[in-house]
Amino acid sequence: MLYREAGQFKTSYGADQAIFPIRQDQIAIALMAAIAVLAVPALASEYFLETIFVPFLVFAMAALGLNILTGYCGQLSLGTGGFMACGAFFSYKLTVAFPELHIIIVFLLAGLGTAGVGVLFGLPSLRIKGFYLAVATLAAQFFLVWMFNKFDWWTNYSSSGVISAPPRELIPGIFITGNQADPVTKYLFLLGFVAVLALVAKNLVRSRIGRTWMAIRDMDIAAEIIGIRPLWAKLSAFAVSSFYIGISGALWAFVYTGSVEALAFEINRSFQVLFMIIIGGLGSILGSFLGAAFIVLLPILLNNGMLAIDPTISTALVSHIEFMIFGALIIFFLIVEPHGLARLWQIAKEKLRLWPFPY
Amino acid sequence: MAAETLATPDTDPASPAPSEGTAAPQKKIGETLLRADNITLSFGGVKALTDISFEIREHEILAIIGPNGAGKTSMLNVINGFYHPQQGRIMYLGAERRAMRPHLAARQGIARTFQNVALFKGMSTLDNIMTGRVLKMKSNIFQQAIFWGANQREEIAHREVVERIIDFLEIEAIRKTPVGRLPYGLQKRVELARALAMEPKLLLLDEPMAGMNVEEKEDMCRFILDVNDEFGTTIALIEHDMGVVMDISDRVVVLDYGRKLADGTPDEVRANQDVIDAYLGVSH
Amino acid sequence: MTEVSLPPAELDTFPKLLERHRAERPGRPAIREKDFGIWQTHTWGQVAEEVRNLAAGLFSLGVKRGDKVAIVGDNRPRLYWTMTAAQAIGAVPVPLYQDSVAEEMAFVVEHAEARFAVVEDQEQVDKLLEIRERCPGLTQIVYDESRGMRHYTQPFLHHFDAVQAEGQDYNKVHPDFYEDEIAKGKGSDTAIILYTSGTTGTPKGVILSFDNVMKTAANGVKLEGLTDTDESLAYLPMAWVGDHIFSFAQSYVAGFCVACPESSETVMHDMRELGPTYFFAPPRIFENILTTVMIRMEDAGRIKRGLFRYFMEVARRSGIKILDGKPVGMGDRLLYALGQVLVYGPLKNTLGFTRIRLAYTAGEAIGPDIFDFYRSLGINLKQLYGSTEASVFITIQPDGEIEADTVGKPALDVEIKIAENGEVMFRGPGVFVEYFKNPEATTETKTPDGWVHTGDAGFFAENGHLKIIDRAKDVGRVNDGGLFAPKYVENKLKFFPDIKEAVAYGHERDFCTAFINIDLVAVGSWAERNNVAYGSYQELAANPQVIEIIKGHIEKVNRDLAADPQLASCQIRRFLILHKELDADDGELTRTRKVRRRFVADRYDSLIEALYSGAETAYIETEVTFEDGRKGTIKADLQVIDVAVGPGGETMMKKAS
Repeated sequence: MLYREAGQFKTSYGADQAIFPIRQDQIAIALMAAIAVLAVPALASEYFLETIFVPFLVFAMAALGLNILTGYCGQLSLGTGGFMACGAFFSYKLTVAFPELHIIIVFLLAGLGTAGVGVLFGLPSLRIKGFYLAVATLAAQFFLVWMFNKFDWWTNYSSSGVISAPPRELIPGIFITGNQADPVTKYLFLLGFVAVLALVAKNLVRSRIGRTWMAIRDMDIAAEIIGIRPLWAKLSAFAVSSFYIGISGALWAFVYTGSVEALAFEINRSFQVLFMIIIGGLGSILGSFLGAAFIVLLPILLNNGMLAIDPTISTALVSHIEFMIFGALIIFFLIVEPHGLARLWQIAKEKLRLWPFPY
Repeated sequence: MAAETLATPDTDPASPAPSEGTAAPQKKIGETLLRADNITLSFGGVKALTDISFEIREHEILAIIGPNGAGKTSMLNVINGFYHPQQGRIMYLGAERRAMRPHLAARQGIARTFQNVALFKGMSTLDNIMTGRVLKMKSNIFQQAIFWGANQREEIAHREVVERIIDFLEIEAIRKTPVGRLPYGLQKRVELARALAMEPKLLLLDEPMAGMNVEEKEDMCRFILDVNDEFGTTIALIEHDMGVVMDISDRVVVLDYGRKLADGTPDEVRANQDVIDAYLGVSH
Repeated sequence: MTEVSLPPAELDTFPKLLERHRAERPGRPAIREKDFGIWQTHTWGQVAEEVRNLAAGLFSLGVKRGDKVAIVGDNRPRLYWTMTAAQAIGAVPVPLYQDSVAEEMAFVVEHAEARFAVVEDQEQVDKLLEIRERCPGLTQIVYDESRGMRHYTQPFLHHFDAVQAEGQDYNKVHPDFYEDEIAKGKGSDTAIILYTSGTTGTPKGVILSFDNVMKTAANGVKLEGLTDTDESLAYLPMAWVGDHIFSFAQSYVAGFCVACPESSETVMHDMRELGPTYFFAPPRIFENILTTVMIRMEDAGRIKRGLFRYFMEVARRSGIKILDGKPVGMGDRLLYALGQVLVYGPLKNTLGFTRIRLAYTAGEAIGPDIFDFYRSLGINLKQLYGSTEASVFITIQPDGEIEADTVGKPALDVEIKIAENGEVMFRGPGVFVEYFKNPEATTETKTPDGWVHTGDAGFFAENGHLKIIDRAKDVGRVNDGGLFAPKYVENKLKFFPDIKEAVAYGHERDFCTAFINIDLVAVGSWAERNNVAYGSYQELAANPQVIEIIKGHIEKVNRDLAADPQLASCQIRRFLILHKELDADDGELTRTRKVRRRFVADRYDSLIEALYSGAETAYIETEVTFEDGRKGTIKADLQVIDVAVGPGGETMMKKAS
């Protein structure tokens, strides 16, 4: 309905290949960016920033990573939590050992380290697929969490088994980790960081490497006959995916919670991120964000909603009802649109473009 | 002054012009591109191919025919690298190769289409054909991550090549349609386009005209001939329609129960008694 | 913001004008073509260079001053450039209809004495090769698309690129050649020869000079305020004078950009992408679009349909008034604005009409419902009246005074008078020079003091607008002396979406009758919704329910006709529905889809007999030509239906019985 595409004709392939080729979409994105950068920090309370926007961005990063592996390349993985743990602990050890190293470099290096781990655990993918691969990745999940838990070296022999993120500055004077970091700074830093890496993910996905991933996912036999080497494609998916997930783990530990123990990255975390991309939409960058938003917001909405209806309700009951509704919604969404919110969004957009016609 | 003109003076304007004027030049068929020597392939106890030997010459169109279950697709799969024969060897481009993965065959210039259309159903026609260009793309992962600059230039250059192929096979109208929504005949054409995007030396087509009506078959024949004519691509195709085989192929190989029955020009094969008994029935 | 600027008088040919564009707006888009997935754009600077090389190339090929160059193909930039290039060296372009069959082409190529031909692709080359014996004057053929041409070895076939390359070399050696040649041209020279499609008799070659074409184009540009930021779509045949004025002449005069769609199948899709600002379509196309809109809306959900219906009502009430600048209440204005966001805007967008500032239609009468539909959406649709012999514009409807049943006021610098027999005559800067090699036809059509017979009967209404009734020679009389205007009646019938074509008879007969062609799309859709099965067009046309519906339409038309005493004797007493659509390939319609009245009357004379003999059924056997040229026969038994008539028609009934 809002689209006026007549007159927006493409005179070059570059224009045709743009991420947002339709002018109305460009306006919408610009608006959203303005809201995200200007309105949110000004209007949202610290509580909102800390409990909604910051975890949303951290989870979006993890969802992006898992979506690359599972959504775009079709390799089912339940090791997300373990890889997040890698990112968290690698960056802790790195920054403690080299405090002068800029924190972004630390995050990126931790991501690279996790990528290496991901490649290692991705080796079985050449031989096994689907369900069996998922089980193999479970091995990664359990092993990694166990390792970070068991060996005190990882926590610098702390008695509590918890790592605390030391304060680090983005630029001299602006802290993004530790006690001196304020929520607005953290939010804006995460916004920029995640936006840049989301753009990188979108670029990869629409380039040669993204095509090889999707070809493997859709029909690996056909992918082979056009010259794609399955092992390379899958391992690169594991590598890039683990890079993102590792960084999300580092961000979790450093920017979101401030301190974390290995058990925070247990198997439930893996399922949580998996649900995000299933509900959000497999094989969609937008879907990663939608899914993360859904999973982060839903419990809070339900919680506040139920408290609003009955302020005396017990927390145990709230949490039980949350689970039930949560589960029911997941089932509902998977029935209504198995391809996730991103697909619902795509359908809505198509209908808007064709309005008032049905086809 | 007159020496500069393009026109060759038409000496007698009234002389009748040749009716069509299309003088198809004799096709130059080159040396052996691929040779199969004594290929034997079995699965468990079943022998799919027994002692098959034949050759494919450069620039020719070779038809592989035979009743169902004769082993034709298995033969293509051996050439392609999907199956590894227990005995025998394949000589390609002068070098021997025995066990080979399909992606290595692709890198050597062998492209393949399938009977049941192996397209990436979620992608559009354009994206499917673009995947055929992956071997030709050179950007590294960092260039792709940034996209603008070297990678974008490469993407545009390959898009231009793909558009030429789309124009060649007359599928402009379905450029952005997800292939899952296309009718079977068009899907086959898209699959052919994707194979062509690889700029192959040898094109293996497995029943490219199965399930098509007369008009679609004619179009497909025309495209196959055009590909062979314009790009010089060597083509080996499995085909059941004898009319098509007689029309477009330079040579024919006949298989039956995993054995080669005959090998020669279409006329020779048509007259071969063994072939008639096993496959053709009464010769027409 | 650019203003309307007309070229100075000394630029009196298109090549000269092109050089002016090269100097003044070299970077602005001149012509586009959708090819290989994107819109390939050429600027005025690029076009000027291409034409310069092409002109020299054609010269090298042997084209001399005064030679005719035939041009055949779909709308393609290179073919438009050929027109200018030929004109630059004093040759005359002669465009042909791209879907002509070989015989039609042979006539024109031979009559025009075309020595050269520039064509689009293999299809056109093949046709020319077929007729080459009959046209011994045709020496060289240039083709653009090399697809399929690999094995054509004839020495007289040249690829467009080769000709241009040759021209480029020639220009290097003779750098002043082009300018010198252009300077030799003047406004009174022949710019183009356009062959009329000939509803009667053989086609005639209309010679138009540069003055003819440029002055009328400029007048049109001035009247409508066209600037160089406008965009139009070139999709109508290049051989038709309308395309030449709208997509060539006016583009040169105003400097706006013309876009060529990818192929004839993708026209509507390309239009949606392009969003032209200036658009022409014959009424038929506007009808078809409206029909498809309605059919698609039928399948929409209840909310959408409800919204659509409600806001189309709002548009009907206020839209046209708002467009014409007439007073409308505040509440209605707000409602209309809301409608813009919810319905009209998106609707126009999906059709590609969002940016249209000016839309013309002409060629035949347009149904008032259709006309009002577009205007109520805010699309400035206007009618004009013209002909090849006038370089198009005879009358145009001025903004603010637009009605469905007039063709407007005389165009700038055009005078009109009505002869005693009711025939419309005109005079003006666009009047053609003469018919090529046909002095008798020229004197028949043009008087010595420059007045042209249009052959149409019309009169001026009170508001000064011209109304066209019918072809003058077709306006007849029924046996009791009453007026019979077949076109007028047929147009009223064709306004119903169910009726695709109608042919009326009544001259020198006791009463009026009609042949009807049903519209397969509209009636088919009705059949689907009402579970009526049919296996073919013929079967659907014979369906009794369909016959009843058509009968109802005819009764309505009769009531309308009866209301006007002058036209009461045109009421239709009997009709039948034809078993097949009238077709250009069978010679029943012209290439511009007008009915060849006499031909149809001859072919179906047995049916006409049945109509007037009082018979209940009529048998017909016709030979038809399929698209690939093969012939076949169709047989049918058609029902002949009687219709009630109002006052004026009754006297006819009494006389008949």
